[in-house]
Amino acid sequence: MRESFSLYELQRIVSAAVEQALPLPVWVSAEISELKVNSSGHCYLELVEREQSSGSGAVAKASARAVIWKNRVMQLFGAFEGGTGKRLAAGLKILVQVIVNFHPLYGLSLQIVDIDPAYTVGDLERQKQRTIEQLKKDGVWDMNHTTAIPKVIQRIAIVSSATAAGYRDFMQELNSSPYRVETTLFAAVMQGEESEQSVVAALTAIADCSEEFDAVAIIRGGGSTADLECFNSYLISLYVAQFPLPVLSGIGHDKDTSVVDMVAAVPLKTPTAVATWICERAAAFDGELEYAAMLLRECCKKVTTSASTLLEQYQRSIHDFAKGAILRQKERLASYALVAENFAPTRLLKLGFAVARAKSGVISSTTDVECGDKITIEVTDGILTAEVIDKNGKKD
Amino acid sequence: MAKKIDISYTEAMAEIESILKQLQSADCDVESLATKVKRASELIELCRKKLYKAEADVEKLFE
Repeated sequence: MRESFSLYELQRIVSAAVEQALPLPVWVSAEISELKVNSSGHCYLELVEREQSSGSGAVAKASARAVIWKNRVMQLFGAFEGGTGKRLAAGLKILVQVIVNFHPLYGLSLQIVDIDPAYTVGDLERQKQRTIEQLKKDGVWDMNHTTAIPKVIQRIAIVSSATAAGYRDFMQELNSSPYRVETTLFAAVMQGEESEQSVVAALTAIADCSEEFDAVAIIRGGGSTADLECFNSYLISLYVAQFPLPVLSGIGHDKDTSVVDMVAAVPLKTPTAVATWICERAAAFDGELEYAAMLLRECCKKVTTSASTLLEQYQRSIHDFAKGAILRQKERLASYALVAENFAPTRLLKLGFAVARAKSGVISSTTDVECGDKITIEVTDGILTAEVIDKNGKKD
Repeated sequence: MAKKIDISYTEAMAEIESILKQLQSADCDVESLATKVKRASELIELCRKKLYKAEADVEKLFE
């Protein structure tokens, strides 16, 4: 008979070897593939490491069971959630300190005694960076940033949970504004596993009737980082980036900015902030109109004032010019009178000129009379009578 | 001379300007002087009324 061990003996040997090889707790990085807390309060996990660590679909190259005993559950879960903002759950990559046990009956098990949340935070951040890089590589990163945002947003499609406090706040803020905004809710699940498909379905429904809206608001009130993880989803971000209407995001996170915020045309902090932004934009446009009306009024005033001034000036001119025309005529008459006066006969007689008359009339030539004719000569103060004695005298 | 008084602001202004020019010219006809001044005054009054109305209409629009 060959030398053999009983199964228990074999397991004892392995157990001893394991204990000897790893006597102290060690740090191990792995992905949680399953996690459940049973009724007794202990938490059982299935840890895996995958080829190339490229997503949950990759083939596992190592796996092990792990446990967090009830007395550590509260402390470790609390520390993890405090550090990452997420609850421990399947799909997360973790760095844990484990005591390696090999029990003859239960086999290999890792007892988790500590957890490093910073590792998970870093991994999530790396995932987020990969999503960002992929969107840039796809050429869609700036597409929503460059959509034209109407000066006034009057018809808005809302992606939100119908019962969320954030949605209520949003509607309340809009309703308190003097500007009317038409809202249409496209209800979606805004957290958890279903959220990706649900938000994408809502966006698709809006895209089908995009001409009925001016913009889309994706709103979600405050929540833990885990609740808002879906807004780092590649698929949702891809839809938002390529959306034909400007997307306003109001995802209430206190720390990080989600990828959806980064690709949305207008990223805002909270649902209320989105509503406020819409109202302020309307108010700004209202102000522009007010200003334009003021300018228009001023222009009209200028036109009427200058027209009025011109009329006043014309009225004065009519008066002045008419007076001028009369004056000019008076002067003309006066100058004519002067000429007439200069040629008046009485004036000429005074100067020594005389009028000689024969029977036939005024003598203007020697041929008008004969020698011996009696003629009269008119001078200033009377008439002389004379006789023509000679008429052959020449002028000097 | 029953000239039409229902004319546009621009036509009225053009006529006023034409009368002003005539009044300034050396050979201004004395006999028609008074008629011209009367016509120009009527036109100025007409323009003024039109202007006041325009002003009031504009103000009403901004109320």
